[in-house]
Amino acid sequence: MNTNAQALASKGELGAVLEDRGFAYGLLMQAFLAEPRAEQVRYLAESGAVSLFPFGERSDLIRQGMERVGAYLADPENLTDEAMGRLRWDYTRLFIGPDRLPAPPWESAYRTEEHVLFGEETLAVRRAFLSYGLVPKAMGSEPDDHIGLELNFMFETCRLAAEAAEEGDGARADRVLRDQQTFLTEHLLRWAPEFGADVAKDAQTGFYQGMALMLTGLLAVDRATLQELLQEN
Amino acid sequence: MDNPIKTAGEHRLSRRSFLGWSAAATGTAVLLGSQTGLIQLGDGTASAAAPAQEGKWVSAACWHNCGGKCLNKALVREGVVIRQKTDDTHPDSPDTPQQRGCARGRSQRQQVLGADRLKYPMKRKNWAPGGGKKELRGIDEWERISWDEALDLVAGELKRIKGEVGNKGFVMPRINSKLMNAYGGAMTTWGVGSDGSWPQVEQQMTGGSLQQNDRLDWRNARLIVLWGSNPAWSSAGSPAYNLLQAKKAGAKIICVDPMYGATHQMLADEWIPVRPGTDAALLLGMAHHMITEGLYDKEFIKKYTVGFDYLSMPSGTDFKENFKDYVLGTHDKMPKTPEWASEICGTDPDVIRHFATEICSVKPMIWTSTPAPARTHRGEQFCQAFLTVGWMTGNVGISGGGVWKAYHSNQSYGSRTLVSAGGTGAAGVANPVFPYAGYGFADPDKDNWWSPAYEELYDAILKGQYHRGVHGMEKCDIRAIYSIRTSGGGNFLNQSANINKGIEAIRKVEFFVTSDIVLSTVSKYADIVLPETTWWEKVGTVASGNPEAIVVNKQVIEPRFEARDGEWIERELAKRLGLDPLKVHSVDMQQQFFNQIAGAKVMKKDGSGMEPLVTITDADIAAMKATGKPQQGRISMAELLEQGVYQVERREGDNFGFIAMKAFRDDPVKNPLKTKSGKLEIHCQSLANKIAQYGFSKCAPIAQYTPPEEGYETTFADFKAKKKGEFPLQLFTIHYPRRSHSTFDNIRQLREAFPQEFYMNPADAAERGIKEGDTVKITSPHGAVIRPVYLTERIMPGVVTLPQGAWVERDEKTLICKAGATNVLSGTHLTGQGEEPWNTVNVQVEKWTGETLAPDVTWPQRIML
Repeated sequence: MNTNAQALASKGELGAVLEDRGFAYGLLMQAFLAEPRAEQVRYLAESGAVSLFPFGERSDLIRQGMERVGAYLADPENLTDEAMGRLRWDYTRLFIGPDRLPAPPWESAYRTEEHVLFGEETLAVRRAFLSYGLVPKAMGSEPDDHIGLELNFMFETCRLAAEAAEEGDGARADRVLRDQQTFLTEHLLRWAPEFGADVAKDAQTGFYQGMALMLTGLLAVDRATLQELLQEN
Repeated sequence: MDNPIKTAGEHRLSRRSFLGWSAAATGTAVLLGSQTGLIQLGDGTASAAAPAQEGKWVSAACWHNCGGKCLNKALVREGVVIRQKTDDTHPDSPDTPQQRGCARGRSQRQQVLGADRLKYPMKRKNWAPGGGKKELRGIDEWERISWDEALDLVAGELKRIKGEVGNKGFVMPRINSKLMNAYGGAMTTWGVGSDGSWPQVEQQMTGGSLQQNDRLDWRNARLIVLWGSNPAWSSAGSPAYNLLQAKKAGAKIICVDPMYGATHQMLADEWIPVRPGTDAALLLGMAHHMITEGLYDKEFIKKYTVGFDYLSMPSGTDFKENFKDYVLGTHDKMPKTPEWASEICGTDPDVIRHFATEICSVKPMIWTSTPAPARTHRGEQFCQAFLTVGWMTGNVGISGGGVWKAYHSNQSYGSRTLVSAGGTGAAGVANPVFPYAGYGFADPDKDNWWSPAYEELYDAILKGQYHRGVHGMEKCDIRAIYSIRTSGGGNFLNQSANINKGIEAIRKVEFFVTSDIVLSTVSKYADIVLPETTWWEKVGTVASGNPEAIVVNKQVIEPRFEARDGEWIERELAKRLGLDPLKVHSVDMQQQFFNQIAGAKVMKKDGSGMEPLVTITDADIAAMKATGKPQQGRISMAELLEQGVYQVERREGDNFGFIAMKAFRDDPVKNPLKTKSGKLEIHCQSLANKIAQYGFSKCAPIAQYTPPEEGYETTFADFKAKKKGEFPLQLFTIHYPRRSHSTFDNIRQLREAFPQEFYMNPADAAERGIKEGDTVKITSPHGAVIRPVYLTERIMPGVVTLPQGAWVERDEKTLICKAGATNVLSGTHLTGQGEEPWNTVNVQVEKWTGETLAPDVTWPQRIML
């Protein structure tokens, strides 16, 4: 059986798709994994990285999100120290606390009625990570199913698939993509759209509103992309 | 749809420059910095996708102040709690009931693992040493900070304030921090919460704490009077079930309460309504009938009591002050007839007479109350009257009969302890500023203490002075509130009267630090909040409460996020304050757990005394990483840890029975009580003297009735003309199965099962145009809340109730609380021995014209200790 991905790999064209996907997952991973750092935000503004976010032509959500984040970063008022404080507070109140979290950034919180962390979902995510020898730095004390970690996993596996493609090992790239597809459908797609909607609704800054739209858009696009890549050629 | 593959590759080089995949061999990517959350295990462990492990059941703590100590077990797999179960270690029977958890205990997983656990040390954004923008407390933004920064800030403030004003500049409400004590002490708060006015009354009138007959002996009663008692809701565990066994064995059960509650539905043969704060009047009306009809037990009164009539007055007292003459109105010309009582307490005079006759004619009778009617302004008068009328029936020191109070964990469990945990072995550290226990503080005549009563804390902060017992008013300058809790409790802002005044006081101090498992009410208004572990994340503990069982809890999971236990926090602070951490917390928690197990004692089979419970081997000691000696007991350590509970098996006629005050009843000369007279003191001068020492209110040496503040009489502008005033309704507050005090209020499934409704009689609602399900506004002289109304004839007209413990949710503009926190409505009245008069509150109720309140199960989540 030969998939589109293997066909592309043999032509040396799979890497381009994987780099697009890796870039997208990597950028969002950075946005959601931890509190924003001033140098990181300023670098995003200076480098124009957000304008390079792929798949905008295929998703209204991604385009809207890119515009929102782009506008935020383009305004010099948003790059002052005071604005960095506001951005940090936005992240804190959305994802850290100490008060009620409008958008708890964990799969287990979204997939249990009681917003309980560390559930069966967390163990399934842990096993998916471990199958690639990956573990969260704070495993055991913080849940493995944080949005940033799940995006990190997608990013990391894009890199591994690209490596395989580079080496001409289409079958290995294919296996990684299948694991990604499983992870996407069994995990990210089952909660992150709802999470993204909550962030888009409750965030006070265009930065996180936009990143949430890009996240929701990316997951829908990537589901289609993986489907196409794994179709028989 | 566009083909993603065809469109891929635009801007490829630009994107690639961010990806840094050429450096892939390092295993980390360099996209926009090197921040990544996943790390690559070494090659040897790369295949670590081990097959799923089997789950293991672990005995898991349910540590709350609900009265129960039930067995909770958690199924743990790979560090994740899959589900819970409860006691299935032995067959259930009325004699030896299983210690089964309630809806709260079964929500423990949601509490410990909720998404809104406090995760990291947090600092209020606009706080700075000295206070910063103090007015923003409760509404400020927060910043995550490191443990080091947090501990440095706390230690810095403690040093600064101690340097500026000394140790009396600190207050640690309702806690006794070993760190603060070692640092030279801090003011605390004192008084009585749960027990109402009982402690001094029982101490002075009976010479000690009232005990109860053995649980199984309750089945010998022919009549049981439950006064202000609702164990089905207020005493978690088996108490209501135990009472059901007494009913099945033939006891008639009469309940006296403003509300026909869950217990009454389950047990009551008769419900006698009484207005809050007027129980003493009802009892005096009964006493009048018992005296004038000659129904009371004259032999008992003569032989075992003093002060009933002028002939039995203790020497050195005015004989006119005797109880009988007060009831008959001999000197004040006001006979306390059932009609007199009825006007006050709302109970029909014929019911009063019938009730009084019944308690004198059915024997044996158990005459039992709780502190609820004593959590009132002038609550002593209820306790005095309850004991006096109980003793008039002669039901003391006999099988199936007795006069006592029973509530919380000791409801039906108030006799001998049959199994107990050992002590932790951790040394205490005395507080130089207040070298007493704050709860039930009994030494207002001593000179070596400085601290305000619970009810006076906020005024002490705001006005700079407080009552210091016999010494009168004392000036103070409170700069900091310390609320780092090493074992829970201490949500004083939510659970003490007048939350609005409390917030005002908190916004005056310079520094307020708490530790917590979630942003509870106190922490919401703090400057620095430190994340604390729950008992599921600590090494283990042994819980006592039920005198027939101990529950042994093990660590279930690793600490979540950056949570640390309170003792670790205080040791780290000690280092920064130049103290020896081991002089603050001398024994590590593992050793404390071991000591509790090794020191556990169980009643010998013949009932003659206690013996060691647990067999411990050298291997057990090594496995616990503890120091200790092997010992011989009844159960192996491994088995105890596995079971999670040790319960003494019971049967009627076993060797563990007990009859309270039997020795005194059998021979009062040989076995006198520890009162001044050696007898039960109906006239008790030492009680009147003691209450006077606190300096708050006066208490007569006999049971009398004086209208309390915010009682029934104060609902009138003109009582004689029966013209109602501004706050015409009486509010009392109940315990509610949704919560243990304020704990668990955030749990969704509990919110759904137990909505926080305001109970009101339809007659009162109709007068106000209020319909079932309306949102109503309840206003007292101290604040206002809104809640959905539940209309029911089960509550007396003129009386309303709201369950206590909801987490205050105050609108900062209107100051109206939408959660229905009862302490927004209650006032800080100073009374008696510093008890908290939560059940004497006057309110008005009106239909809320604002937005209808959504059920609070739909509100976002918060979790607490």
